[in-house]
Amino acid sequence: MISDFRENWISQLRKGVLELVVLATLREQRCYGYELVQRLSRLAPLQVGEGTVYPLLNRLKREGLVTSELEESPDGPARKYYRLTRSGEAEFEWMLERWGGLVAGLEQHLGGSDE
Amino acid sequence: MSSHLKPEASVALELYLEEVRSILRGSTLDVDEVISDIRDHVREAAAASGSESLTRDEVEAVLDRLGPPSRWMEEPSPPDTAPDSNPATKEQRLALGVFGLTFLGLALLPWVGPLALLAAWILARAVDERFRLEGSTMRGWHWLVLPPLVIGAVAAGALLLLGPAVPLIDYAGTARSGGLRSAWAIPVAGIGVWWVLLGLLVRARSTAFRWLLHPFPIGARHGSRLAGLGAAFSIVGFLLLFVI
Repeated sequence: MISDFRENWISQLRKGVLELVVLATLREQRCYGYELVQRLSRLAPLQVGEGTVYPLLNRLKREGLVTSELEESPDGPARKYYRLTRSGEAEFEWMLERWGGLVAGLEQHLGGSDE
Repeated sequence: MSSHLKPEASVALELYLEEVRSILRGSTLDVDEVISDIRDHVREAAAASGSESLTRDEVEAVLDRLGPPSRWMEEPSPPDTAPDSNPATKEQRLALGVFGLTFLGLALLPWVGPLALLAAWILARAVDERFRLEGSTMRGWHWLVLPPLVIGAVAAGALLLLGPAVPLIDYAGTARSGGLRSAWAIPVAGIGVWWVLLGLLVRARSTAFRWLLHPFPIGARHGSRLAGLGAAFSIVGFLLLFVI
């Protein structure tokens, strides 16, 4: 029962920050899908399922936050590169600010004590 | 058939893709794009593995990591992560509105001013609470809502501390015929008793007082200090009245 609760909680937590992490990664540099998946999978605490990244990229693309472009690859067929749009940059800044506020508020709440 | 896959591996991939197509049929997703993404992923995985062509087991391992075909269904948008407007602009507008109302209230003192200040205080409380709940940092605009909060807290604090003193000071003014010392003894003792009561109330209900006197972080210890100060005043007042 407790393990279900923990699993659900950690899963929601990871899911909640995945968009921020994807936008942060693409802001740093454009990536093709497999490359992005590999970079995210190195973030051990996030435990990103490979199959969760593509649907998320498609949603971010539909929302106009990322865009994709095909580019010839020296290793084979053309690769689809994803990068942030201007709107994606703005949303990332907004999310980052909210994240900072959330973390600061939580730290204050969890670390503080009423008299 | 894909050249980077052995024939049986290619069959496993096509079966997976067929299931994905079947699941996505009727959805709003671009099925061809999803299929293309999966093919690209498997091709990149094959290239990264270094082997000339992937076996069935290797492809199945890649597909396992991608998850079941149902994974490719449209994921619902989280309701609270997509902002419906530009919140920074809205926050700044609200903060500027509060500041403007405060300025107007101060300019129109003493007639309409208090009403404008009261409205600014109410709006500032609402804005401040909203930002606190949403964890927003307001990008440095937060100070704009502080003036009405400070004015409101100082006014409420002064009223609480000294409100009951007004009739007692009036009494002191009218009772001078009995001597200055006895005229002030009752007001000093009265204020002292009031501060003891108020201090004990602050101790017991520090959360309510913290809310009322926000942004000042009123706590139980302030109640204790006020009660202590009140006790000292009471003692001085009663000494003046009965002993000295």
